Amino acid sequence: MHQGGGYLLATLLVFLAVFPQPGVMVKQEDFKQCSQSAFCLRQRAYADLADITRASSPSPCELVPGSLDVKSEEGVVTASLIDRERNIPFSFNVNLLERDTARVSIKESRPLKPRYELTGDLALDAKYPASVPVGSVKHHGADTTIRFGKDERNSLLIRSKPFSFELAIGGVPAISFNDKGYLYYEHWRPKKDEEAAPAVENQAPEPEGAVPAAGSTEEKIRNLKENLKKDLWEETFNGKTDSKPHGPASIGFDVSFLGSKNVYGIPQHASDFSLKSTRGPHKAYEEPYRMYNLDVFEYIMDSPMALYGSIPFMMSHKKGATAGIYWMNAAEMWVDVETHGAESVLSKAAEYLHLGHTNTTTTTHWMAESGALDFFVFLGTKPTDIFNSFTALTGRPAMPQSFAIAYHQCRWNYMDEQDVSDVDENFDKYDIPFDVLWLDIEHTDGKRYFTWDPVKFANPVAMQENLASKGRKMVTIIDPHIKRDDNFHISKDFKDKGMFIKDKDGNDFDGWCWPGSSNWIDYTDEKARANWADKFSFANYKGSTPSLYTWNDMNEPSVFSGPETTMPKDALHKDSVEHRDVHNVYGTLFHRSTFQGHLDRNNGKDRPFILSRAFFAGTQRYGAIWTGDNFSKWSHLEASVPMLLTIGSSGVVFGGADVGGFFGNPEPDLLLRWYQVAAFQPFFRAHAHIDTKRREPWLFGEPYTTLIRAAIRHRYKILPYLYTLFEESTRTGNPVMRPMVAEFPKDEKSFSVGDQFMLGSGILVKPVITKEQASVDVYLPSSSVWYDYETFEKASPSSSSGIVTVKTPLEKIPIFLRGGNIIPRRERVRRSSSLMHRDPYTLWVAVDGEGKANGRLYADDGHSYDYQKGDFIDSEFTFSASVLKGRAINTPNLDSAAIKALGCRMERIVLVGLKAAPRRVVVADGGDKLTLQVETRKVSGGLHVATVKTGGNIVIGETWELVIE
Amino acid sequence: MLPETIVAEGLVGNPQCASINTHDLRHPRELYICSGYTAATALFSALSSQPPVLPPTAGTRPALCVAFIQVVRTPTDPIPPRKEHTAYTASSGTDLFRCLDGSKHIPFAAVNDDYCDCPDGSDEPGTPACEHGFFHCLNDDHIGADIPTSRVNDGICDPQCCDGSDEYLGYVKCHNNCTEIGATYRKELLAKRRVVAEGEKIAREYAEFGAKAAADRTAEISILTNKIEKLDKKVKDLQDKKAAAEEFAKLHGNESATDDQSNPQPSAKSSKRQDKCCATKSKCVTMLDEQIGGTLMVQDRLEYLQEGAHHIDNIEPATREKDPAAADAYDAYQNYKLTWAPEDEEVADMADTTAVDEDGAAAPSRDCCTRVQECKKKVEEEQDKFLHLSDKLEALLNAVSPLGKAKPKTRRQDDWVRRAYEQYVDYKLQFRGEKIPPMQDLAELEKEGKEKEMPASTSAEQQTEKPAADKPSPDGSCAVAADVLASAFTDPKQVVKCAPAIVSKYAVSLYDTVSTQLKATLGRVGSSRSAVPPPGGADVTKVAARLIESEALRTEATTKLAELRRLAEIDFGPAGVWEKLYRTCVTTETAEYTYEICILDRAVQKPKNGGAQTGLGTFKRWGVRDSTKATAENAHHAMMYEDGDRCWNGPARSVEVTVECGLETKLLSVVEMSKCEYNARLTSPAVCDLSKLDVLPPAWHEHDEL
Repeated sequence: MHQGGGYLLATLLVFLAVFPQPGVMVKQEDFKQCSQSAFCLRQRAYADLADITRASSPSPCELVPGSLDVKSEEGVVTASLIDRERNIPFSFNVNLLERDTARVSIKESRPLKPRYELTGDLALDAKYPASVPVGSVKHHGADTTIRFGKDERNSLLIRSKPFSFELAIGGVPAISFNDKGYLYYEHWRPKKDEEAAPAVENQAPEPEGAVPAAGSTEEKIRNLKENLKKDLWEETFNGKTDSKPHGPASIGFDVSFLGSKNVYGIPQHASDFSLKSTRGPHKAYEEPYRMYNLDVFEYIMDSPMALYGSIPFMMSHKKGATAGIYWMNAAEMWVDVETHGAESVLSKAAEYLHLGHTNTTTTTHWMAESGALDFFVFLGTKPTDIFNSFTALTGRPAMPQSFAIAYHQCRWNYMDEQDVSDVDENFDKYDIPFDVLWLDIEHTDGKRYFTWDPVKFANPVAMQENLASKGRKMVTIIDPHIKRDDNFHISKDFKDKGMFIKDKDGNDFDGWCWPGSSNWIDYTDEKARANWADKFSFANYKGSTPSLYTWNDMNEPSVFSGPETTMPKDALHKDSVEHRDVHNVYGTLFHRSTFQGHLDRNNGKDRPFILSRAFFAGTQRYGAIWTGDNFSKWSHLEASVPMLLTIGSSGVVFGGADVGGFFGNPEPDLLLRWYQVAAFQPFFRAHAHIDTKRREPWLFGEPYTTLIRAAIRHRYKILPYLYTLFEESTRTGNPVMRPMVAEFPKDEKSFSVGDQFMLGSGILVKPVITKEQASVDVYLPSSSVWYDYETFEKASPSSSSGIVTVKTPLEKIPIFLRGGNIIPRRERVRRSSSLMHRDPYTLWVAVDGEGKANGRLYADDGHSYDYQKGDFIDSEFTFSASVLKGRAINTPNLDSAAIKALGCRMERIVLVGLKAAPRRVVVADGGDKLTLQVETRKVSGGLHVATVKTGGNIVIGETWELVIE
Repeated sequence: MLPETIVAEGLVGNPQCASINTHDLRHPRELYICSGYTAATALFSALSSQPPVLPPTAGTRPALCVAFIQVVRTPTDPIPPRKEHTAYTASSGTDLFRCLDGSKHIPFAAVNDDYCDCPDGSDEPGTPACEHGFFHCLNDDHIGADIPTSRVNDGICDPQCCDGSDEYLGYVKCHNNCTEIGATYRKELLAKRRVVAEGEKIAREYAEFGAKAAADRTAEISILTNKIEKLDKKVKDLQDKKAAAEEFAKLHGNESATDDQSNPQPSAKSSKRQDKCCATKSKCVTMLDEQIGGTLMVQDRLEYLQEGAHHIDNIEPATREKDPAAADAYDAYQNYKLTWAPEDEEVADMADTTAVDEDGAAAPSRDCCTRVQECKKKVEEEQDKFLHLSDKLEALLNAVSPLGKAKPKTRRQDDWVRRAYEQYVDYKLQFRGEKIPPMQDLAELEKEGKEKEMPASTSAEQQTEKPAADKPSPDGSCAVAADVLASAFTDPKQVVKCAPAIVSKYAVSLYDTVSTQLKATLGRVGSSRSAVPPPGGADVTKVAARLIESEALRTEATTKLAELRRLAEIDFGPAGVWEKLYRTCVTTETAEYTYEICILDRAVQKPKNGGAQTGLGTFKRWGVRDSTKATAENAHHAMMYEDGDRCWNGPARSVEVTVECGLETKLLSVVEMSKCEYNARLTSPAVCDLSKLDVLPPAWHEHDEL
């Protein structure tokens, strides 16, 4: 949802006057460019100056000789730094942590006052990684090399003058800091001390009377120096002034990924998975990537503009080394990316071609408005190492309920109880499964969350129970803006308790959102979070039932009347913390508080399901996110894949895009194509703006109803596989929807691929993203064997490019099974996922080039935390030498009633890619061998597909063996 | 929906299999249900005449029911059976079951073994193993139901399976509620049938109304077309005559003269009296004009009727003998001729015009008072003529009217009777509702003249300039003729209602203007020459007046025809049932709005707290919003109102009105499903159709009171 329809009329009129043509998308001028965000202008100017002057004048930051101190046992390295130009001392601190992680901080040694830091579990998991001891330390001249980690495989090389450091894994340099000398720390200063920027002071005076020629280097330098002094104590954008009472406090630094062409992460942007250059001769964007949670109306494609969520995490991978960085800072941030040594901007097709520029290095320049310089570096040899260490630090993804990964039907708005009931019945009538029906803001009594429209939703309990009778759930929207109304219990309570965000003058901040004049709860206040959580109890949330879950929208926060449609930066949180310091984490704290409320309402027995639009590092601990208010356009369908890959690779594995596009009316083929790919993405929800036509799956006639039905049913059939992937993510942080590079870290062609994805390790999906697209080129890494998902025919990609062209009639998008994988499925689709939990399984065994495959199945009751007590099934399958083995792993409670209630029977095993037709399939049954019925068919390429009817002879969770003879 | 057919005669009489009817005439079939594994085996035996192979897991798997369908109906069935046999018979001599799509043979043991073997799902009608199958619930005491097999053993007691047979694995305990539900259902169904039957009666009345309205319309359209044709001819004829008269007038009267009205030169002494007389005079002239108009109308009718009446002369004696009505008419017409024949219409006409002309010609040389006297005389003369013609018309009507009683056969056989009769009928239709203005009262003239002691000359002028505006309107609702006429372009209905009034007023006004001008011209001619009237010039006034009258009649007829054609274009549904309800408005209320929908007309939304109403559209077509979903079946069960007020950020508003059978025409609900796309539910007897209801099972017929 968005401010779409309800914006002030005056704004509309101005809009119409300025833009006569309809269809103007985002009002770009409503949002800042780097040059309009004073600290970004200054930091970029500093970097430009550095680029021009570094040859003659190196970075002024130096390590104070003799200050380096290594505390071997604690895994701590400290040193003093000095900025020679300004004479400001800093302390440098490195903590070596488990999982090849290092925490680096640089702080002012004698600050006027402390800087805001994200402490405790605000952005990190409650369980902090353990320190590891320092290994060998070697000094060579003024530089020092410190080894750490398992087998001392990692090294930290610290250089003194100018100060920089570099981290390597297995002897391969991966990441370096301040190579470019962009480190620029705006230290706290009193306002009177409004001296010129230091870089100016220390420069040699220019020759008397010399006037630099226009466009000359001298003039450039002069202009850049002017920029360094810009808007230090106040800045105004679009008529709204940020008072900045504490003055400049920004921090900038550069991080280089040595020998790597590709960097990923720093969501959220409608851009490629492999980030584009924003600096240097090959830049694709003029602006740096911005991270500042914003409610952007009808956002544009292929842009570094900030969107709803921000995760200051970046990863880079090259053959043999992967590195990541997470800057723990929730202030507005900009990141420039510059890839050196790349010959030219590459065409899309050329991305598949071999690009072995080992001398390519990508430099990134990070700029934040305030907060601390406190970041984590992760080292590894493959992306999954980094997913693991990053989510170990910021929190593992929450285990979703099984319904949450099924299909969701949403619209702004289902109008009343009758409408809800009709939609529900139509799904059954058209034999389309669905699990959750969503209600947007119109369900409330005057946009007062936790209330129901007394006419349209007079009987919310009966309505929810009716859905629940078929195993279905309901979700209602709860936003963080609270209508100013003393007769509204939420408003009154938080007002009386003083828990609203204050404006710069200390009054409750008053802004404009859906309900009109509103207040915002200060979720940085632990007591406010607890108070909020309490509102979700069944007693407090009248009309809520155990099958009701929550959707947190507008939590960037969206403030229609605020600067850039959000909260003014000088608004005040608890302990007079400025909003600028916590902006990007605000939405997540709200999400977290709602999560807690859901946990509490069932005494911690039921897994919450909360969808949020804003997100930050650690959001994965609380639930799902979606990519916000997208558009019914092919370009938005296209963008959904790289956007979700980026978000998923940044820890938030449970993400999706509004199927069909939020704004506008999708043509039926676009809607269908969207369903076809979204069925294989983690969060699968159809949603639509209130101004759009109805678009429930059956409304488009044939062949669309049948094909959309088929797409949704595909989803339900792979739910066992998906659920297993989600469980895996809770332990490893591995995304459910994975970039090719995560699965093929040795295949350089896959490194920059962002328009197709792996669902787990076994299924490859590529969307169809243009109208009437007759075929699609898919890159299939040659290290694996691939089978068509429907025909089981072996794919034969070109041996040189790895590309296979797949015909894509309306009913098909390219989906492949990766040889070597065993996919657990349920073929019996019922009305909702919870009605399927007793049904038998089918295994798809897709063999690799050596005739091997393996897989896993995780199952539990799908809703409670009993799995933590051992009530789950975890089965491992291996196929090798024509023997398929099933083995229960980690199943402490196989005989529990909870497990017995689950369907554990295997009804069918489909063997894909067999070189010969089996003569006989037998299963050991006690001492006897039982011959099973098998049906074989030959597919093109001389391979066979054998379907084994297993009867009641194989049970998941037990150990068994099937022999193909 | 169900796996099609197996001809399995072996089932009949099998004690383990029960046969039931599905009571669904659209899918006539007979169903054999064999419960339990043993029964299933027996069934297969019956089919294959081979002993079945016992499945290895017999007894452990659920075995409930096998449903096979046979399209065999008893001869007493009201609808002949559809021949839907797929050619399947159990492959005799084998023990294999052939999937109903013919794609595969499987052992009978694999039927209903909770594993999907057949691609079409036909082997698992009793388990949820296949994707596309249907499970049949017997529902004894109620109606059997087919549910998707995906709902078998899913832990939910399916409401369609009131016997609970869908949950035979016991994940949930389902009770057999069929007796209760069946009873309620039967009650409801019968009640519904009564409603539909009663509604259908009303619908039949609507249809009769519609049929009559349509027939009337067709007749009227043909009459009007005919009339317009004639009027066209007449107008053309009069135009020619008028042109000739004008040509004549031009030749004889190009000398300029002073008009008495535009430039009177009364002596100062007599001016006061003259003023008074002049005012009365102009009134009198008006009165005279109107009287002439009335006379013309009567004469017109007389001529019209005469066109047919003269055929009576030709009626064969034989005809007269056979049909007394023909004889009566003949005799009456002879009488009429005897009484009125000597009169020569053309001569009479000439006399009239001479009289009028004398008035005009004498005008300039005399003062107003003298002329008032003369004018009054003319009016009196004209009135005498009017009375004379009226009597004559009445006499002629009396002579022709016996033909109305003539036998149809006579009309067919005797061409003369037919012609006279048709003209008579035409006459009646033609002048139906067209009133002849009452005769002027000369006394009024005196009275008014006395009352108005000092009528201002300006007001007199005004009166002469706009005589029409002062005349009382024959129809109060159409008082402001000009306004109504102007609005005719936006609301044809209004014009139809008011047309006669407008037309006559309009015609009179025009007539006045033209005749005044003509008289002025002729007056000049008369004054400068002699008192002998120019023969052509006399015609001009008369012809112009008749032209105007005819044109007015034609306008009236054309407007009426256009409206009738518009109505004829409207699709009033099957048998025109909806015409009865045309423009009937029904309303429903929501919290915020009152919605009003007028049948086949328009839909509006009115805010309850006041404020402007919003147009939701006007009726554009039958059918649902998504025209791709139109079927012959549902063609007249939904109306689309479109092109309503446009929404901000959305389309023009529209309403899809779906209609269900109900005894009253009632608006049940209006919901805005998508932005500015409304869905309304209407009940009306207009769609009640018993034949669309499922036929009751034979066993129920005794309860069926219909």
